[in-house]
Amino acid sequence: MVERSKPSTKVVIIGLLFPVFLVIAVDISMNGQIPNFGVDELNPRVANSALTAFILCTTFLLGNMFFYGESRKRPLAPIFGMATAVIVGIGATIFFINQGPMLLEGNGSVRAQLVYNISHTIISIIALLFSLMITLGVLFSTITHSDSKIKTLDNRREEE
Amino acid sequence: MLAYGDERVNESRYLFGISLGTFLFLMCAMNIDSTNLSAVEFREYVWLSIADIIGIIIGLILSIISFASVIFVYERSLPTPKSIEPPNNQELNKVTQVIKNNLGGDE
Repeated sequence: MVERSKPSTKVVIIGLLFPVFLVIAVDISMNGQIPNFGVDELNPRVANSALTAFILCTTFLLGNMFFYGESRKRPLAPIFGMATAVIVGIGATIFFINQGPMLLEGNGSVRAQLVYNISHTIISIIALLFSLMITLGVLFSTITHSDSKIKTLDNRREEE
Repeated sequence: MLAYGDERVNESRYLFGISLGTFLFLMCAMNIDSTNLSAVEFREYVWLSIADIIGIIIGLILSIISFASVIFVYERSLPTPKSIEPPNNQELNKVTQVIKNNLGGDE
């Protein structure tokens, strides 16, 4: 086996984001901007999905903080976690609201927007999970379908 | 896949083929009108979904940072564990003897 240098985390992150930027770049160069559609339409979606994902992930991590506090004998850890999350959440909300008129997209009330955000985030996460499952399924099917490397190595040794 | 895997060229080709197919499908849908959805409308949905994914990533990063900072502060305040003395010659000899006694085989 030949020793190779492993790529850095930056390269992996760039590789993950590259397809998104590729789609954006190809679309802009082929078709230009969409009429009556711009940053004012995109900003509310980014803000709403960021805040919804933040709230959902915070709820999950807060549960983990209770286990952390118990296992490390730090009973105040969840309280500090909650306080930090609230401060970050308020800061993010103020930041997003200052970017322009937003948070209520096409919905009439805050409650409708809340349900819309949660259902939207869940659907997006399910779509991402589906793509991950398909990728892993293809990956494992090709790996299990190909010849075993151990057998190939044994055959090579026997031939030698 | 190619970077982290070892001799995984075939597998990466399959995955690259799927990515290329998906990308071409996306480009076709963004440029060709269908009976129920125009190309412009589809482009809007693609842009909104990109905005959605970017927002989700931002939200997850913010959440993880806020809790990781709490854990980091707590863990940093813990006293450093006492390091033990390195083994002396007598202990090393004893360990060597134990290993020697237990090494062996049919050969």
